[in-house]
Amino acid sequence: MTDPKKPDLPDLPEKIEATAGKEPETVQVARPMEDSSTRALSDALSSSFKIIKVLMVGLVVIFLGSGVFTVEPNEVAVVLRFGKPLGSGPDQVLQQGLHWSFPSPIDEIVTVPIGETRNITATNCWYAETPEMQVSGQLPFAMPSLRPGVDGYALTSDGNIIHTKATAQYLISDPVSFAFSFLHVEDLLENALNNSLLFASAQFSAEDALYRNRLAHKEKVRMRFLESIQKAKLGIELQSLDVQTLPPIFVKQAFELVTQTEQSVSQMRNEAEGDASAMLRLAEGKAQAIISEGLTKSNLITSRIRADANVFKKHLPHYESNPEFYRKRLIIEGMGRVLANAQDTWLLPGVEDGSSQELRLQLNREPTLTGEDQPEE
Amino acid sequence: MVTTFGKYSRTINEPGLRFKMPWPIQKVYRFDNRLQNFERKFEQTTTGDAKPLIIEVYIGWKISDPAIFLERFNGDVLKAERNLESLVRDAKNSVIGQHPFSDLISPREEELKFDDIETEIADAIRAEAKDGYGIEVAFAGIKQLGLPESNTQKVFERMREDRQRLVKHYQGEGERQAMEIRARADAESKEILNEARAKALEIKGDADAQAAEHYKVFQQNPELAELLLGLEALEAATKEKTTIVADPTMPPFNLLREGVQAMQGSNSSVQ
Repeated sequence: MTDPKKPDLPDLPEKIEATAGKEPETVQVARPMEDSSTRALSDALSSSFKIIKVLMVGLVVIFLGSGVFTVEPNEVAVVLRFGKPLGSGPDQVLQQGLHWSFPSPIDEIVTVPIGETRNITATNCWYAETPEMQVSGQLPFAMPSLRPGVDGYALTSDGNIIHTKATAQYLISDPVSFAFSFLHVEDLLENALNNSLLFASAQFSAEDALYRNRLAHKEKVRMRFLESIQKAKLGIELQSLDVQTLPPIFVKQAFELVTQTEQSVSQMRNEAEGDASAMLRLAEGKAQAIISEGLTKSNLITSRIRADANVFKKHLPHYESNPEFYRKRLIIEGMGRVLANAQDTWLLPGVEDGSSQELRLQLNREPTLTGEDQPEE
Repeated sequence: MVTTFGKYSRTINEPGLRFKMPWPIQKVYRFDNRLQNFERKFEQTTTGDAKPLIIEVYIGWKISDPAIFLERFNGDVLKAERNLESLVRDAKNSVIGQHPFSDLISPREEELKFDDIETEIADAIRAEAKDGYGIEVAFAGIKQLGLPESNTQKVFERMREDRQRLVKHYQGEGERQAMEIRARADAESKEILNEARAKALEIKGDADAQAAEHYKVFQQNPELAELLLGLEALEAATKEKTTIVADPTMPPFNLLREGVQAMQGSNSSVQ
């Protein structure tokens, strides 16, 4: 709507319009020039304001957009607002995905690789070795003594020396504690692992730690290490632990000789047990044969007696009817069978004048057949 | 920690947004309050029973009082560690000197004083570290235990001799066990055979008892029984490879003579 009191003039800025009533003459004279310059100024200011607005909006968008960040699948993040962790408890930890926070210096993002399995190796009790020796598995030269600070080792409960090292695999279980409670966690972990090796070895004899009871030694290392990381609240979770033990290289051969002797003794014992088993089986077999033979003989005795009794019963009525005749008959029949079975029968007629006779017999013992000469049954 | 015109003003222990007067009025000193690890190369000391021992100890520590820490070390951690080193050395020597060597190695866990020694070292440092250095000692641990180089040589000699003794012991023990196993088996075998023989005798005894029942029949006529059994025995005894030298007058060979005489009689009657 146009004001009816004002003349019909082209549109002017408000400031110029406000001064129109005070000095109308001057205004009327300067109006054509001022109109164009004022319009230009107005346009310029308007454009500048627009640009500034766009820039401001752009800066705000950039500012806010710079707060977008991504947490990768194997990590978590903690947002620090003015240096203080945002949230509390489990809410402090941001899981994988897209997140937003205020850009620096308001917020700061600390990412912790929680899903990544980490390794720590404690070699303080291991012999000095180069990386090449580690790869090839080559042992250093046997030295008659160990140098402090160079050759690592552990003392055993029997006052002996062994080499031992351990590798632990772990995950970060408490990212806040892990990231903000310790400076150089790996150093603390390595020391805790070295301490566990010393502690465990100090309770085992060299023989036990090296050969007989390696599992118990390893378990002792593991328990001590777990206790240390829990006590210090290091914020890690132990995944696996590998413990190696080795006798000192200078006396390694002596240890191997003991192991070989143990094996040969074991073999000796096994052979003796095998022999013993064979002896027992043989004895059991013989025993069974003796019992079977006894049974057979017993059966033979009873059956023969039974048969004799039956024969007796058959002969008895005949014998009782004429004992003398039947007796002679039985004798003659019996002698007949005896003479028939005899290999040789010599009849030596008697001399009527009663002079002595001489009969010479050369009897050879029948040779005993053994081995291959034995006839097959 | 905040100072005002160089003078201690306040300590801020919690993270967060704070206000301070601008420089040069107030100044902020920042310290890492995370637990740090401190260790040095090991040194030789002596146990309570006068045995030389090389030991290395590590310490978990953190700055607990920034004002003292700043005043004492000007905020320099390396300087603090150098001072901590002498403190640890004194504590380590003092504590180890009160324990025998057997407190550090023992086959029985309850006799092992590992934890006690570590706690005693930490306790010995703790008070002075806190009041004098502004440091809190969280824990102490043994990182390395060793012997002087010359002692390791003696240990090697002993270990070698022990192994040689073990070899002989195992060999002797193995032979003894093998002999024992065989002897035990031999005795068991004999026992088994004896039992079998006894069993066989028992069986034979039972058979004889059964036979005795049958013998009762022979009592009806002992002469006949004797004759039959005698003939049976004679027949059995001369069954194989027997040479008999007999008198021709003995039956049945006497028949030969009678036969011959009969033949001679018939011939003379023909003539």
